[in-house]
Amino acid sequence: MIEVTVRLFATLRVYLPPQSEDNSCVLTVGEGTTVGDIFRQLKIPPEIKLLYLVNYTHADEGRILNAGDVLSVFPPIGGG
Amino acid sequence: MSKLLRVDMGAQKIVFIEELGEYADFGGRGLTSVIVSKEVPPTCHPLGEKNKLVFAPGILSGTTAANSGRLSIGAKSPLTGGIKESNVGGTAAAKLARLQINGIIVEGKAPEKEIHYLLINEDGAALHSAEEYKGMKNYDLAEKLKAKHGEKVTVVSIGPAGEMRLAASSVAVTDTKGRPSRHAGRGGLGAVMGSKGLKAIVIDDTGAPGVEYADKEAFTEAAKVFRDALTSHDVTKPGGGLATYGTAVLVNVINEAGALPTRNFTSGRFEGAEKISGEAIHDIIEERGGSTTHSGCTNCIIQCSNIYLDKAKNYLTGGLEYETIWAFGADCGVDDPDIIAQADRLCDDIGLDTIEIGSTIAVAMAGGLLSFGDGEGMLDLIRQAGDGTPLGRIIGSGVASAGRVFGVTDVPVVKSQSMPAYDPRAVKGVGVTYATSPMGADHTSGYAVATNIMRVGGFVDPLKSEGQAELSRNLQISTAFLDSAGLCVFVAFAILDIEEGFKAIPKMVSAKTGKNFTVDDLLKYGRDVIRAERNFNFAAGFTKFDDRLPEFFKEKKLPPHDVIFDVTDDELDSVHDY
Repeated sequence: MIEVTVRLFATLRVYLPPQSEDNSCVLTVGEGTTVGDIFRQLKIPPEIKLLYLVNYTHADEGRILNAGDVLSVFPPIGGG
Repeated sequence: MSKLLRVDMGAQKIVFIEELGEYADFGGRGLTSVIVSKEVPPTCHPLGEKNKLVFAPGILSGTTAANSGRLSIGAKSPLTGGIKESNVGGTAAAKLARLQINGIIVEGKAPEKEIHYLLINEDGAALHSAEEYKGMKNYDLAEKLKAKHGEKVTVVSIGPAGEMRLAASSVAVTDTKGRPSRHAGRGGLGAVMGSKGLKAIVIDDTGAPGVEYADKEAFTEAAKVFRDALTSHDVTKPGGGLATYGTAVLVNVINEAGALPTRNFTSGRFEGAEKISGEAIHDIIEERGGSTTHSGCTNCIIQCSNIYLDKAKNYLTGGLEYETIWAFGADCGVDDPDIIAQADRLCDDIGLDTIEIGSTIAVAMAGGLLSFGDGEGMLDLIRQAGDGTPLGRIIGSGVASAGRVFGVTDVPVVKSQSMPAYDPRAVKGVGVTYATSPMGADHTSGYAVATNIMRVGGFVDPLKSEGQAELSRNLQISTAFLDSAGLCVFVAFAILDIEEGFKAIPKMVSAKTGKNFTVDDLLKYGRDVIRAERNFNFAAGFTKFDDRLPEFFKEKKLPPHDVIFDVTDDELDSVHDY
């Protein structure tokens, strides 16, 4: 099992486990867990087109997470 | 019948022109840039008699098209020394369009110490003395002019900064609630307005004839497809990303991506980011009874704006945006949202560009004038700019001159305009736009952040140099057209992903004008506008060496990704090679 940090922002904050602070939680997951697996585990609706970074750079949903990785997830957002 | 107004501030004469000639096909930025490039000598003094200040609603302003309320203001910029189009929302564009006014060309200058305002209504246009409003800040001014001319009028105005001709001064436009919270901020056009002795333009569209459509039915059909694209896309739809958190949502996004310029562009990560994030501001607004979802601009369905109350639950400011939060927040090392909101209100009242002023204070901090993180000191400097103290005038003159005054080497400008809220080393696509836009360091003119960070219209890795020149080029071209159509650039989030929405735009233009307008025409229009702007800049003395980023971006690695800007000079020179 490995520990990864998951950070959820904006309207995704509601999917954080209880007692999470500062948009963050630490999850213990099996080796080989992917980014997509985390979304399913946190029950984030699959129809939301998510924006995510692994260790603060862009990654794909199939990316396998390593111990200590940080996954940051945003809903579709825009700005200027 | 569409017309142009020529307002001669020297002779105090106004002429309505119905023969539009070569200006007939243009609107918004297209019109302002074509007029400036034809009528303003490129080497003239921007605060002298020969500069012209042009106000133009977009081609689709005043129609039923969603998000068509943008106004373009153009001139030779006293900040950059090149051509400028400064774009603003609010309520002016739709009213001018309904009065069938395609543009207002303000020329010459009033006699020294005289100041006037222009009243435009269904009966015509007239200049009035603004002596009693001299030195007045924008909020008071809007209240007084509305009391005089009607609560529903739009007020376009300068505050004391524009009257003092400060290079970072803005032009304010009242929003849907009648508050001067929308600003044409970039490029110091408030100073041009002040140099001409024009304090305000009051627009009353009561009884206006409305816009004319060549084919109303075809227009309505295309407008529906366009609107549907906006209401179905996750970013722009009601209850979507922009409606819920506004542009402030970007604070955490750009911080996570390691691209949030912190303490004068020394890092891409700010430890105080969460305190000033869109989420934090959303929670504060909700708790105090403000509004997190608000349309500041005519016909807007995206509703990205907000209304922020202070601790005593009184109105403090509206339209507290990402750029402002960044400039007075991360860039200055300040993590208190109430201080940032006060800075926003001060700038709106005094009539200053929040991007330029926040960044100027950050440069002053880098030069040791005050410490990073000194929020009260920051507010004091803004107040001084409004009062015209010598130090205040330095602050109001922008980043490039502050860099010289305070002996700072790492000065984040292109063509002397300060860089917005994305470090070009970590978002290389927008870095290309900063370097190559005729406007100077400008983010909206080719908002590559959408594709570099938000995966809108595809994905181009922000940390690599590949693909950035082409991305910036394509966005600059389409944006030059959007800016001419009077459309809010936020429609891009929807239309870059929804092709039918994009195609609906030339269809709306065809149906309104009666002239066949295709996607190819749209792109050609954008290229023609940029070409006119670049030609003006070359004639004003610019060279390809002005299409570059400052040295430190190419040499100093930006943490946390430890990246430099490595898009080559040849690639930068290829951007406008068409």
